[in-house]
Amino acid sequence: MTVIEVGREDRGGLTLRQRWSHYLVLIYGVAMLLISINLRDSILYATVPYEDVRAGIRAFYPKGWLLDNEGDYVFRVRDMTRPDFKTTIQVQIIPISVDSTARNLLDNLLLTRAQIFGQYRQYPRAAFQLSDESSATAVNYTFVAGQDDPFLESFPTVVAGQDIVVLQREQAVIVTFQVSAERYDQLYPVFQTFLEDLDF
Amino acid sequence: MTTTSRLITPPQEDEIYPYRRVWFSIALEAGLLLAICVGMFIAFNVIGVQLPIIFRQVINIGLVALPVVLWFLFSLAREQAVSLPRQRMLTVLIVTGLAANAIGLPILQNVFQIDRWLPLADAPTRLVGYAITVGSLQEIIKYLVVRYTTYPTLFRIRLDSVAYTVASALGYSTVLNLQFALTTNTDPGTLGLEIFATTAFHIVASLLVAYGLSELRFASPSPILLPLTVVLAALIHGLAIPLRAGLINAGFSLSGGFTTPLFGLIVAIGLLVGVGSTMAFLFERAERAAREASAESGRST
Repeated sequence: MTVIEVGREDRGGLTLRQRWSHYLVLIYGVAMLLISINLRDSILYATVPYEDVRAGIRAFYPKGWLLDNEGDYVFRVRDMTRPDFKTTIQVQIIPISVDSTARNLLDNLLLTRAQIFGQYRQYPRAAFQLSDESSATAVNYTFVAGQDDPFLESFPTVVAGQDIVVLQREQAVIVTFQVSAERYDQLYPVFQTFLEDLDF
Repeated sequence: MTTTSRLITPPQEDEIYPYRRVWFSIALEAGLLLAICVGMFIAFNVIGVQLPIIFRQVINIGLVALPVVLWFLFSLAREQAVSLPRQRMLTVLIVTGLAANAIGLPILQNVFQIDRWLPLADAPTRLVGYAITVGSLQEIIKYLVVRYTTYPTLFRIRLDSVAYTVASALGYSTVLNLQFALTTNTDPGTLGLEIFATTAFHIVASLLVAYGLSELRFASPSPILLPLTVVLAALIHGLAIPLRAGLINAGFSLSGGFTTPLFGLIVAIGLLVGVGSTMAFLFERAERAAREASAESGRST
């Protein structure tokens, strides 16, 4: 019996050399795609370590953000490159009594912020689980922020924020994320990464 | 009376070149595009011509269409005038434009998100980043379109690869130019220089890939030649973007900051002339080597 193989030599009119060249270009394309995504992540989500031994907090905040620990918080980092509202992540520790609950704390925050921020509105609170399986309470809110400098004459910005409240022994840790509302979804992964790395 | 007959050598018949001359078309189109864009820059940025916004937008759209219009006049129309016209030129241009809009731009904006990190990165990261992201993606897309619409059946001579890759370069650059014109409120003078630079960078990169494709079709190079030309094209394209941006952008000084768009124009012209001449020389050398090899084999038989 004779087997005749038809069309083996002419697969699309390409030689073996031409086919391999084409495959190598495709491999190069896939490799560059993966490297590009990796490069993007390594720059976009690059972090810098921060440690406060006295407060017992260790965190990794976004690279290039301005660190500030002069206020009534453990530390605050802000993205100063934003022309409108500076995206902010803040960690605050408040001493509480043994009987205090997250609800007391959030009610207190609501009353305080309603006097500071314009059009402050809080949304329903929800349970939140941190990366170490500990439970917390999350609350989302919005407010309107204007530029501090009146000479800039800019329009106010709608800001969306989220507070994560963790009760721990006789203190409450409040992790705050505030960003221009239109960029909230885009930058929320940055806050998630921050929370995952936060150690207290 | 005697008459003497004179032997006259019959006139030598010129061989008619049956294909459109690609280099001439590219030089003509690039030259006219440059002249019009520089003319616009002088009119709007040097003389200071003021037009109502609606006229400015009409001129901007006309400028975006200009490279393709010139290509229609001096490439596509001329193909019909020669005895062996190239096929699917318009297909390559349109498919590349569609691929740029449907694949290239969404990947750059939504997946790579280059606007969020690349322009603000330090200089070395910017150079490498643009080559890896923008350069590679654009060159791969253009290569794939040419590869799957024309190669190898429509490649009859080496310069066919130049004709097809330049068509794909114009398709891609037109989409980028259109996006720039529609998303920025720029004057025709600045837009003209941007259009010329974008078109020039795409043509330059495509010429490199054209060399790899033609060698692979008509010679027996190493299989890595074509990937190397794609890498080189991506590298040059990727380096040219931040280099031009760096030269154009105003620096800080005590006397104030002024943009220098003409430096960017010089980079685009330099690349187009430098790489274009080099590639023309390499194509000519490859063609001559093939002719000599053919003559040698004819003599030996």
